[in-house]
Amino acid sequence: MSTPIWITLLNIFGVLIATVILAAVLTWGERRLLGFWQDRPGPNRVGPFGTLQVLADMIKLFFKEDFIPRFADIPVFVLAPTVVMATMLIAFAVVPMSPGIGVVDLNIGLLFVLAMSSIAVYSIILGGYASNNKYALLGGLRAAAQTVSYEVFMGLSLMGVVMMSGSFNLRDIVNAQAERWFIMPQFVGFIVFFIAGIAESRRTPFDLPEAEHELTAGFHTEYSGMKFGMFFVGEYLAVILISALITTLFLGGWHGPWLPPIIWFCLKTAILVAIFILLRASLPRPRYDQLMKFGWKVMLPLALINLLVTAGVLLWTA
Amino acid sequence: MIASQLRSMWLVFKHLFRRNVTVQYPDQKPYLAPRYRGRIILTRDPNGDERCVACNLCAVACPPDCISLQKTEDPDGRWRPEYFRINFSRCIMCGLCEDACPTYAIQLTPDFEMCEYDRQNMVYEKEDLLINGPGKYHDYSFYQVAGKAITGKDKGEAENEAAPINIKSLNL
Amino acid sequence: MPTITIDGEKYQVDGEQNLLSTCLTLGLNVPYFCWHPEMGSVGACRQCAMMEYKDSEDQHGRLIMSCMTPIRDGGIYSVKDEVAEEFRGSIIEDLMTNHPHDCPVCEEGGECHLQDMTEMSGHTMRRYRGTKRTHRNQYLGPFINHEMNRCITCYRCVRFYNDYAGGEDLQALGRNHQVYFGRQEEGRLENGFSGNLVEVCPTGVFTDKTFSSHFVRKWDLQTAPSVCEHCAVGCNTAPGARESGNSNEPILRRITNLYHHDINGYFLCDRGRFGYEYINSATRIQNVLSVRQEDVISSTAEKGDRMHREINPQEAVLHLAEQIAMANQGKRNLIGIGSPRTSLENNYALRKLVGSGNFYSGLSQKDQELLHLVSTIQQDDRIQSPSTPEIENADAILILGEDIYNTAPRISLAVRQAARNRQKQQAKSLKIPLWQDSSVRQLEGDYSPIIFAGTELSNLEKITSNTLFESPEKVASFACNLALAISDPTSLSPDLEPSLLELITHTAGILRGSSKPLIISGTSSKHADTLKSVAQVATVLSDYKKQPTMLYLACDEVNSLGLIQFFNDGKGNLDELLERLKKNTDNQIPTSLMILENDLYRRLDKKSLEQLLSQADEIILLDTLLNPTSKRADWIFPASVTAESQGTFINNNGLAQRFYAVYEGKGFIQESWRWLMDAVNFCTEKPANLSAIAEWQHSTDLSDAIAREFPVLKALDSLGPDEDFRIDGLKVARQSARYSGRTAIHAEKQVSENPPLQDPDAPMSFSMEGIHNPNRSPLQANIWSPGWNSNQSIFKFQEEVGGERRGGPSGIRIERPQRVMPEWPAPSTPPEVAADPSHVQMLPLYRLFGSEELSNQAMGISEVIEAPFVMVNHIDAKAFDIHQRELIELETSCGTYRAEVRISPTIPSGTVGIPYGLPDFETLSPLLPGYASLRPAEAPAITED
Repeated sequence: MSTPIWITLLNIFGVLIATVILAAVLTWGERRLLGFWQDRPGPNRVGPFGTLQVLADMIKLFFKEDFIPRFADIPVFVLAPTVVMATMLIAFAVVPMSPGIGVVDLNIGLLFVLAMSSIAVYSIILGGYASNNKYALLGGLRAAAQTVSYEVFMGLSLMGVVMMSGSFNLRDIVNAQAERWFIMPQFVGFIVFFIAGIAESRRTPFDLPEAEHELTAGFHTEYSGMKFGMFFVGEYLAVILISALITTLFLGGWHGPWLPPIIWFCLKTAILVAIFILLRASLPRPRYDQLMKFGWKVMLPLALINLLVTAGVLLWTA
Repeated sequence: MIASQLRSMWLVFKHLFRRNVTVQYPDQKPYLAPRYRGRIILTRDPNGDERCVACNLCAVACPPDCISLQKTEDPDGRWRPEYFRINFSRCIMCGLCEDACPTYAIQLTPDFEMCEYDRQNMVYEKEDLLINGPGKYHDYSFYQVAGKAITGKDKGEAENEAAPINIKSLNL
Repeated sequence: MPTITIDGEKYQVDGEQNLLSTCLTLGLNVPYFCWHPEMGSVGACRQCAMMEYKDSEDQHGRLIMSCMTPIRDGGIYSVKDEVAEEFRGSIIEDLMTNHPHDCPVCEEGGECHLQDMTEMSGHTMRRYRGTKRTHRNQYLGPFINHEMNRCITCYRCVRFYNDYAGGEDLQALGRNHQVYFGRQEEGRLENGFSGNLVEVCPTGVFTDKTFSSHFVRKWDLQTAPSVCEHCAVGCNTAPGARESGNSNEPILRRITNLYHHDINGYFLCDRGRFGYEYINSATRIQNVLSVRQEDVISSTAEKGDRMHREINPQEAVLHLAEQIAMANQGKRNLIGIGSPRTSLENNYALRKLVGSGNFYSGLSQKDQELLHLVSTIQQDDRIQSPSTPEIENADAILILGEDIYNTAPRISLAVRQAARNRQKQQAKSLKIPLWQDSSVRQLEGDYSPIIFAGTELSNLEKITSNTLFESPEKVASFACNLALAISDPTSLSPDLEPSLLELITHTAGILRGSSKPLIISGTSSKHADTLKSVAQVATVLSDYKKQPTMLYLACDEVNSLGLIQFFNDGKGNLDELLERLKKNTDNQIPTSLMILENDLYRRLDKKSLEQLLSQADEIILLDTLLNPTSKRADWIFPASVTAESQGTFINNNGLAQRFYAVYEGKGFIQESWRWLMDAVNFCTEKPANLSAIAEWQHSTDLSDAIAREFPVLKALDSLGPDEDFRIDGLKVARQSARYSGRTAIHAEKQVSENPPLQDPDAPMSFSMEGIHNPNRSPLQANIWSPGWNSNQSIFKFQEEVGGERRGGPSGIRIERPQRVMPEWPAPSTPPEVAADPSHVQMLPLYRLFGSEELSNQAMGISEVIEAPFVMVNHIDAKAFDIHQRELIELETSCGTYRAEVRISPTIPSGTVGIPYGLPDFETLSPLLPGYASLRPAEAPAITED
């Protein structure tokens, strides 16, 4: 490798710290945005515009009693929240943020991301199981079923992009979009991936594992303090990851006129994150059976058709 | 279906440009009408006497039963509460006591900031409730319209009263 | 039974009633003022207007006053007709034109019949803008408050006070628009039933003055059915209590009448109504007291009096337990003294604890014999003990040696109604319905014959046809001769005075000729021969008429007849106890005396009593009020009064009635039997009798035990709803649904609310939780119905207007074995009057206010109790040369008493009347009737000790 070690280290820690901080700031950002969309200010008491709310929340979470219920499976209970955060952070390693920024450049980058995001579901199942609480277990079960179902077409929906770029390497995929973003030829793929991404990150309207109206707080009912904080940050990391992936795969990554590449990347990601939050502000949660039906009966055929058509078109033009 | 989802997203998004409805209390105090239903007070009549005649109607009207009082009678013939207690930790500020009060003694005020760290401090006695004025009704004095005689207002001296009848006269 | 149609509905009704009471019986809401279920109709207020239709064709109908309309079979009436409604609305509007704007400061507010009727008639907005008529009020004594402005001129007050109760000092004065109900001059209303004006008046003209000082509205009163403890008639009452906001301890606020068809009906006497204040008096014992051993520098206490200090109850209970344990080991004599003024349960508990051989009645030999006589007489099947309605229907009454107005006041009110029976008979023959009150009263006719023989007659003088004022001995001989005259008029001794002979034959003739004769007597003259002779008259009359004779025998105290059932062998009086203790002195075993709610100074003469008490090594008292006996006690336990406890009383008729606790007593007050039970629970060894006591949990456990042990009192078993009684799975609520201040009344001390007290004895809760309208049981004490906030709503709880309560009667007569009474020898001739004319016989005179122990401590009543006096015959007075209001000295076997002289023409010559039980004269009471010498007091008139 020709790159100096310090640049690599800077890259690694820069990406790591930036994503974690972003995830933390998002806890404030989401509440603020939800507030605006609901005609109220949102958290605005701590610091300028309430920006220090993150800090306050963090202090609160750190100082809360780290309570572990005596009926819980303690080792698993402790391990579970770390898994989600770790996998999400690892997945960021392969995301190219600009020509010069990005931790590693794996040629199976896309598969790596999918693998990591799938491992994250363990965290939830284990958390739900280890809590030894019926709400938590139900939440965990839902998460497992939901992830397994949506994982299938999530991967399939990306195959169009892979076929068009001819690579699993995310950097190659970005470069393949220099002239034309894949959102145009792969619009269906984009939609399917977006929906699957929401389900994967368990955000409204697909937040059935939490579903506070039915399951108290779902898989993290028994969690409090920093362990809960890790689930929380893990969720925001997932939101950012999915947004970054969509940017990378469909929206041309860092490509854009005038502005520096990193700004373009961040801007596109930020808009997607905002759309995630807008979804939460506006859409109700479906019933569980509706969720499953929608996944298997609508999204999967759609993804398959998209794959076939893309393959057909590619063969035709080749 | 998708159209409706998108439409609702669009509608919610448009709220980004709406004005906030939130009032920044306590930095910004909202205007409260004089008849706002807040902290309860006991008022005095224009002469400065207690208006409350301990009729118990507020107590019986009170849905959470948080008013308690005992009637006593002064040497001048006035009824008066010996003690008058409101447990504000139970009060729901419904204003039914004010509606029930036949003498305008009990009135609700626009003050609602009554937080305490100790619930016991939410129990207000008559000394805490009595104010030094007539509240919202400046001229009303119950004994001026009541038939009961008190020192300083004999029978027949109230509003719309004829002089007492001399039963030893012929009464034609 | 006639069938009538009201508003299109057909009803089968009782044709004897007027239309108004028929409608009320049917549960229809018809407003009224002047009509009263007991006093009938006068048609004065015009409020009960209804429509009557000629036939089903008639569309217009005509306006009638329902209270003045007899039921016509097939009649068609309407309450809801627009014309009638409008008429009633305009009547109430007129009545209200002068009504002051007083409701907030009126004690009637919230239970005001005028408020209810105004609501019901739909008058909500005042249109009259003219001036209001005003009146000045009068001072009417310590019981009744007067506020004439509120009057709506329904005339109920004078109709009750004058026509029904025979009062003379309340009149309708003035004329036309300015009628005034009051006295000619200010002063106490003299009639002993004046308290009923509070309930009779439909508005707030007459209100309860004793209630005023601790007034709360009706909805804030916690009530339970109770029995009046101030005499042995057994009137049912509904005491009302509420916590006080300052001490958080409940106080009894007032007594109201609780309708009982067979006893008190709609009315109570003033002693029963206003006597309750003793419960809140300063002499009430609230803590456990023990004697102080330390010396004090000086004290006003008399020699022999103990000084007490408050102690921790546990200490005292432990001490009591120790005594009980020692008694069980034979190291101590434990002697129990019962009481006729506490429940059977308390007496039984003490009896169980000390054993029947060590249980004494707490009555002197004389008193116990008298009660025994009463019980024996009532056991004869030729004697029938009449209920109040039966008394009211008697057509000839003979009262012997009992001043019933002062000893059984409610009975004298019934006798007053019986006096009108001739008039009623005449009305019947003229086909005037009896509810046509003024028409019936206008009929000219004599009173039904009422013959009185005795020492003093109060209140009924005007309606008695013949009176004989004589000493008890002479009364007994009169009765004896009367019995002879009834069975065989010719057998009378010719030596009798002609006037007496005439009276005897006259009376015998009346009794023989009447169809429902009634004889009234009692124990108050303290003369066994009188009772025996009365019984003889009754049995002879019964033999002559071949039907049981109604004989009402009045006892002294509320549970006299109950207590005596424990002493069927005639043993166990205080004189016997004294003898036993005197003998016991050689024995080394110390003696503890346990006195149950009894002031022995009223039972036994001072000398004997001092002897008795000095024989005891320790005196343990369980009582409610501090009294002379408590000064001698070493340990005093605070006992609960009737309103604070549950138990059973047996009244003059032998009717066992259960009373329920209205509220829990203050401080450490609890039922006497609970103190005993607590002590027993501390005993380590428990023989059979003690383990039985330790197992008691509910008051009803004791009642059942009594029923098992005493066949006579078997009725207690089936009496009243027991603790496990439920309606729809719920207890009965003592508090009304609209009880206020629950979350504030205790908040001064503690802002969080405590759970309500649990009642272990009754199926009632000390809260609003539970059934508020237990019409299916006798537990209803809060007389309230939607739209009927006043006590007039009682008709909603009756089978029919003036009928039995819906829950059934609350008492059961005890079943004493039917036994023909023994033949008693003719009364001994009165002892020759001593040669010394100053040697006089003292006879007890009773006073409605003053003769009863407990009510004397009531504030209002203590204001009207007379100063002690000695009543002397006017001829004797001349002989002694003493004048009205002069001081006189009475030398008795127990010391000298000094009092004012009152000269009376009726008190028999050679006797002096001594007021029984009056403050300062209490210790004289056990001596009555007895002998004393009389001498003018020497000036200066300073009362000796």
